[in-house]
Amino acid sequence: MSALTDITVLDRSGTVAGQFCGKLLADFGAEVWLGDAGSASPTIAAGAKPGRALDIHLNLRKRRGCPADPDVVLCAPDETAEAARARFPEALAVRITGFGDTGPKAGWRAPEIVLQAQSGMMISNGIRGREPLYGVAQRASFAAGQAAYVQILASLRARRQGAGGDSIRIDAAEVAATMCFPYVLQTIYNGTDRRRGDQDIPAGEVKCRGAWICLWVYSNRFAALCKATGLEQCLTDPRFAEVAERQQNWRAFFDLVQAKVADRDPDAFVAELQAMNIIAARAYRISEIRESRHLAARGYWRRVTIGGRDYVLPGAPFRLSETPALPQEERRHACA
Amino acid sequence: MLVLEGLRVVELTTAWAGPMAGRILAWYGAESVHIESPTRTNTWRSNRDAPSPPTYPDLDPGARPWDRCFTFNSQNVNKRSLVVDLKTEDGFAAVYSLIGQADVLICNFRPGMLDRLGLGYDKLHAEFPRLIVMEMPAYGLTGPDASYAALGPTMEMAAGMSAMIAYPGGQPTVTGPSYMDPIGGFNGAAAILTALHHRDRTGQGQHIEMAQVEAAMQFIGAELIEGRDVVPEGNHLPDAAPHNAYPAEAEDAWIVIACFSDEDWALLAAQIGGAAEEARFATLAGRKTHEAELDRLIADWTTGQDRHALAERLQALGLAAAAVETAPDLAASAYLHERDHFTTLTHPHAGTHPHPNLPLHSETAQGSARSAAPGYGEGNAYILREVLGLPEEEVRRMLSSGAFADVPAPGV
Repeated sequence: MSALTDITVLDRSGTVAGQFCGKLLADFGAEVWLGDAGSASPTIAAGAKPGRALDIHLNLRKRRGCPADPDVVLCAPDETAEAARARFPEALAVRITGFGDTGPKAGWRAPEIVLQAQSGMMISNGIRGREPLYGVAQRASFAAGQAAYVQILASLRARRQGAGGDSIRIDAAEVAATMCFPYVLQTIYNGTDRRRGDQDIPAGEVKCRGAWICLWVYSNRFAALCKATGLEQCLTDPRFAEVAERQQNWRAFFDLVQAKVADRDPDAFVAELQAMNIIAARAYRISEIRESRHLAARGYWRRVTIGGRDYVLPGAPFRLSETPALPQEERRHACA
Repeated sequence: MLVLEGLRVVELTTAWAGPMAGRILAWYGAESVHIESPTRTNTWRSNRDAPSPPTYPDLDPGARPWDRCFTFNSQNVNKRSLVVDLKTEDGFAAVYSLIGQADVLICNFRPGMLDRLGLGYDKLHAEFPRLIVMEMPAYGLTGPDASYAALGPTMEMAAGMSAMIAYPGGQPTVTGPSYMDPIGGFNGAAAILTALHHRDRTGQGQHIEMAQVEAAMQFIGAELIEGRDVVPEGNHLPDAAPHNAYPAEAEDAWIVIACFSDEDWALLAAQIGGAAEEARFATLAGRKTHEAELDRLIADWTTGQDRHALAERLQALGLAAAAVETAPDLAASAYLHERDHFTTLTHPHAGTHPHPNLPLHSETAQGSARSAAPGYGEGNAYILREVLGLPEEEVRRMLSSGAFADVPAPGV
């Protein structure tokens, strides 16, 4: 039996963040009802449109309607936690917004690119001299939903200890900042900052036959990589011989590696590197992930039929030995 | 009273993801003991043989550089440090006893590590049935790639994210860096809190497998379901224009601006004036057709403008815009300070500084930052004396046995 079967949730968030939080609760057994989000536009990414892939991802196991006595209410865009608790006093009322309802950026429009710009992470992405890049999909919204799940589980525990209902506030912008590498503390420590192009990490990418590979080369594996790629001369090249010099010249080094591996089979090259304890991975495209022998062997994918159409869905984010996530076939299809 | 007060967490973790999971539990009041090796220093305590000045307060490694790294000190707030060699009899006995008094064990090393240490789940579960054990390897505990080592950038590649982020025609982008780690940290805490929910009802512990790559793939669920390869076009989207970052007042100063409707664009075009108000830009189709010109036109307008002031002005009009913030921007952010995002903590070796909090706000289960990250081996005597309850003579003997340390071994 899943862990959260004693929990009932009303999800009228109308946002990716709220619906992802509700999906996680549903994954682990909660009864989640997808309620009316009202007509107000959220400041963060709006929830899934019915029948789309995102809807299937976020809302598959949810019922439609409103439960009588929810334990958790994921508030609608124009609904305060106080209003939700006026109706359901013992519930945990969860309000997820972009920048919150108070403060200097209250009410700011916060689509993904805004959240990532404000997170401190975007300035690290891409090539120095060109515009910084924002990241994939609605990652700040997903992270906000994940954070809400964590706080809900903590608040449920407080309620079991006698605390009663709760008002939970999650700012997607604050979550996004927390997901950023802790350069803020570096700045506080000494006034410096790092951004794209000046992170002194021993990593780089090379393109093998049809796929990019990312390598992370700790100093104690550098010689092994040079030998494996026929670049022994780098061991005595003054640009690479010592750690400090290598940190300034990784791009030049990976250019040399690139010339050696352009025709290598990417999976075989990664396997060879891993066998030498050199950290490496292939940059999978979506279609390649779907064909991954590793994920298939792990039984990662779930298959469901909705409206006569077959779908392949990603598995649960974590596996619990005694209280596993609900299998997809037990799911109701609110999205259908 | 904090909601996890009275619970004890033992961490066999390193770097970011595992410690962040422990940090979240400690935020809520759990006593988290971070086990560290005296012969293999946590990379987030940095390499003391090659100090990197930007890592340290005032750019100074000091006498104990491993206690002054912003990386370690950011993710180990509220914790204790036990530096112990698990390969010694005394060291193993102490950790085993500690686990026996713990509620949660977190391990973020490769599969098989716990078994090799003599701490495999089956053995622990037989003796401590209430214990929750979480392993969080990159690729999971089983499968052909399970033994592969990984770090944030390589996991991002493996999860399919990097291939979705690139300049037009460019190579996959690793973001963050190490964006995968905090995903693992949040998922790890989520998994443990889920297991605690079950244990509170049943008294039963369990084993958690948190494959970090799989957890991160949840963040791209829709494209995975569609099985559709994304062809990245920088910051451009098919259904919004403009949608990009534009240069502002200085070198590498940027502002993002996004219009999701023709009405948005009309508002922005009125601000820019001139060619922006031409009819060919009035519709999304027109703006997509002339997107390069559109970007140049906006860049000409934003160049030289203060990105913060401009973003405020555009947001006041109802437009989506924001400065691309740097770490100094965030440290000084009026928004984050107003949201209680910082707590000032004093570290005996790193000094007194504001530390970023966690973005989790609640009336009944609010967490807090109560103590700075522990010094290396700071908790050795405390664990032996106060937690394990060993007699003073035995504590002194064990601390001098060579199994414990408060300074890393040379060269590690």
